[in-house]
Amino acid sequence: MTLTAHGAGAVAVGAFALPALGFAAGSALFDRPPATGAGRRPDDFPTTLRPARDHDVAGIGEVGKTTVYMRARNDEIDQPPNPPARRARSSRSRRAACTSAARSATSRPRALHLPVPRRRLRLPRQVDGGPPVRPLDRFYTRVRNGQVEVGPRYSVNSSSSASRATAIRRRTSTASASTSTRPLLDARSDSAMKLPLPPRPDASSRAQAPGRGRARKPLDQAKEAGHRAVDWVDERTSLSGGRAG
Amino acid sequence: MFRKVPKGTNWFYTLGSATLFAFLSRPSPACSWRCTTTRRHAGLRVGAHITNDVFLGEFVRGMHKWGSSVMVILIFLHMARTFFFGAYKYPRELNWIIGVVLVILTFVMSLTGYLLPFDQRSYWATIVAANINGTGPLVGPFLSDFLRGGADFGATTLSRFYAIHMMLVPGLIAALIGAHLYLVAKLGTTAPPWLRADKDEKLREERV
Repeated sequence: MTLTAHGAGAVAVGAFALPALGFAAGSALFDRPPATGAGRRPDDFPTTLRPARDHDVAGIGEVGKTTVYMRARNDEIDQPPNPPARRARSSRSRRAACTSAARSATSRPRALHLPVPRRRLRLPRQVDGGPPVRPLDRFYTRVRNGQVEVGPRYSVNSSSSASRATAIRRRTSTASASTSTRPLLDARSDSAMKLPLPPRPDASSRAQAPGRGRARKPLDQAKEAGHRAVDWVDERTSLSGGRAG
Repeated sequence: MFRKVPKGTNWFYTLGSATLFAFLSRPSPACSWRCTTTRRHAGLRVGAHITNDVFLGEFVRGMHKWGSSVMVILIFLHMARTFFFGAYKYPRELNWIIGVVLVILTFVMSLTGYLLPFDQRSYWATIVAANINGTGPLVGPFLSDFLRGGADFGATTLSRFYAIHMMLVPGLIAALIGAHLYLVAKLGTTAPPWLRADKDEKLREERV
């Protein structure tokens, strides 16, 4: 009986103590986001966004998969007082599971297409309409051994204090560029970018200003109900991969 | 453990996991109940046999009985957290809808499980519940007949409630919990409503 009571007590204490110890020690021991090389010298970057490499933030599933777009400072866009030398931008926005695909740099040098919602975002701060767009995530960057390295991803308005940024930079591991670098641009992106574009709504389903456009009959709406329902679910689950095209 | 979570995540966010634990702790007593019950102990003697004869049977039975109440309470607390934190809004509406279906299925589990002891209290309480169902418009009488398994309240009703309680609804709940967790992993959690976005001029001028 005494043994049973002590055993039960040990299990009960362990159920609380062990997870608490794990949470306390886990972050300090294992949560060290690595810096991976972009494989290019700082002077090699163009002033328009280009895909630098695919990037995974471990442990957060689909939301962690992203493509890093990088460019050098562009005086046309970047304003004083302290524009950074490089901009590393994620293809993910804070809207979870929302990806964006950059269009060809030659045809539209400063446009990102957001499939959710399906609108085009012109850079900087210009949208065609609709609600305000949330900013895309960023990456910390640094130069080691003459190579640009990409650090942890951060959300623009969730990790903005200077102390946290400094702490993350300090925690960034010092993996050598020779072992962690990958070719910056693979065969796909050596030329102009050829990422698939999201489908754009046709003229019949494009939103019209109030009082404009032909009145939609109930039968038309019923015909589109199935498509809209699937679209509604897909927008929230990203079951189609988040980037259709 | 290493999943990124928003600032301000607190103990209220554990209510969903607690509800999941309450659900997962249901089958083990139920299975052991089922496995330790033989034809010899069928009928009204099952409860007495488990309580008095089986090793730790009283504990297992109490775990199943009181755990069901705990699960309902935890679901409501979890729903309240979701509602007051605004976690039902875009893009998480589908997860909210799945949660509402889950709470309805939990009520079905409560209703069907309440009859299974088949004592006076559960018998008459379930008769009242079936009669209330029968007062519903249009489908009420059919639903009442479906629950009873006929015109009379008897052994067929017990078998039907047992099958619903043991197989049908748990399967639905397990599937929907899978979808629920998939969406939680996919969309992440929300920050508490009292948390404001940081305002840092250096970063704000970088906004797209």
